[in-house]
Amino acid sequence: MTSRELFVDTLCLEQTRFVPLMLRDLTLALDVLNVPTDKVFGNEYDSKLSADCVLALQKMMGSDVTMGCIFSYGLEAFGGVTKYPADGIPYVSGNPLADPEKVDVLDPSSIVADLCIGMRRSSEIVRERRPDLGLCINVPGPMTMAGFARGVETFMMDLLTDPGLSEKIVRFSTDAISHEMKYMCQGIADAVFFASATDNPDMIGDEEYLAHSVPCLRRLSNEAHEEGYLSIYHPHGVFSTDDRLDLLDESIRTGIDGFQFSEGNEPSGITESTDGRCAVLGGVNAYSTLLLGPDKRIIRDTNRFLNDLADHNYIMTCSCSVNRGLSLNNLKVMSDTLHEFNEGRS
Amino acid sequence: MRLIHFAGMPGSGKTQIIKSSGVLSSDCAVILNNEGSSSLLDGMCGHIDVFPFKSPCARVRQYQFRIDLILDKFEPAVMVTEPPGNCMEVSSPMINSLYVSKKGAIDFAPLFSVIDGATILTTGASKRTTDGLRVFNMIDESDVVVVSKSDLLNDDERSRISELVVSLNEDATVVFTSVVTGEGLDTIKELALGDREYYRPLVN
Repeated sequence: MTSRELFVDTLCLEQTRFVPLMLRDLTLALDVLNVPTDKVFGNEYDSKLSADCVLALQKMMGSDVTMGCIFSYGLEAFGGVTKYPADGIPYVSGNPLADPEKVDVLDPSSIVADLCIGMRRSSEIVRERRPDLGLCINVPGPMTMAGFARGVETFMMDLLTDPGLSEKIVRFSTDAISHEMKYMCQGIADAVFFASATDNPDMIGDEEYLAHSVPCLRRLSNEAHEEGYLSIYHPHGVFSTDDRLDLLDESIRTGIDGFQFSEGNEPSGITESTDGRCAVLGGVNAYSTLLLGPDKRIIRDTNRFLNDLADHNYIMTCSCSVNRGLSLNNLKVMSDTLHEFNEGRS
Repeated sequence: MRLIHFAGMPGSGKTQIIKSSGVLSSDCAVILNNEGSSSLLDGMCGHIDVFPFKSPCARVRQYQFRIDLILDKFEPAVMVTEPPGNCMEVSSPMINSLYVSKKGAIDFAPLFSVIDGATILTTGASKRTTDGLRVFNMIDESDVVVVSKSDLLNDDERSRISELVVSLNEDATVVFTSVVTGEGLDTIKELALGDREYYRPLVN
């Protein structure tokens, strides 16, 4: 069984003997080849260099899935500003919908521009070189894209004070994600990953979550299936508690194939709802255990997740994306622990 | 520079304790999570900044960015910070990232979490409820659990709170505080400005 088959089978709720490893690497791979961030995100996105980095990290960690490219959100296409510090992580410094009137003027499909084209090319190269690996494409979730586009704090205020405007921004954002997803995934991806930090009931409240995140996610997940790939959803916030069961249930009912819980959740509270309905992803805390070590703590926490979740159609990730600056040695300890659990398979 | 972080849910009394505990001075900078709170500290410190609402991923980098900015610009001897936005999430991700990159340049005070005593008694720390899980996670990551509004607690309630905290986090120091009676405020100052260091999130 190839890594790709293991990944897809797990997402399709087939019985599998091993737990696949998926590192949601957005920029960490740059550290493996010691490449400055602004070298990939130069005047022109360097697809080949991006693919080289992605595959170098995969080789080092023995992961079953890659995200295909060094990632950024591509808001430049709408007039936004992203900064690319040489030794840092890309960040949005100018929100394209800071002026709300632009939501009526901008075309969501224009997100498919230079950066998107470059990232797609990187994923194509990765697919060509390693057809045996799973390929999962990262895009933002609905409220997360809205937050990037408008500015999180401003968007939170819009939700409270101007429902008409926030509705328009969410619609625009979901349309943009749809275009980005279809372009990036077509013909190469096994799955799309909705990175959804702001689709977070702790931030936006339960009602807004059900009113906005859920229907938009349903639309995107349906589109993914129509296009021939699976979908994974990764919201932040608490979903494992009794009073959030309905939110988790509604999220799963959108048709997603995998649910990744964030740090702060109790895994058993998640699997009570996901069992038999979708795969579960999540794992070692990226901001404590993986960041700080030591090895003993990483091994302890990795085994804890494996023992709790291996029988629940589990894909091992860490709690969030991995980005440059994270210790490669610590991540290797985590992946080695998984490979040992998988009877040496890597 | 010594960094002192006060976590705690909205309404728990973080800013009041920062104001009343004597940790502020003219050589101190403060990052608050709420524009409205800044007037409480007018004239009590060298510089006040407000941390905007950020997504859980972005806040880690933004926190570092703001600390760097204030360090460069004002060179304070002490910086007191609150978590951003709605304060519903744990604070150790932000401090840990800073710890990894700046442990030579910054002296990290123990992590304080301010929890209203009545909240602990009513919600408990059950992993089955969202409010309970928040209390659980907050106690679990803290070096010092500051039980605020202690003037409203009787002896039995204090015992129950202490037992609960210790059962979840054997490393934690529990300090009952009241800005009405002044209880515990000197202890907070001593822990914040003394030799005690950031510890629990590094080993938990």
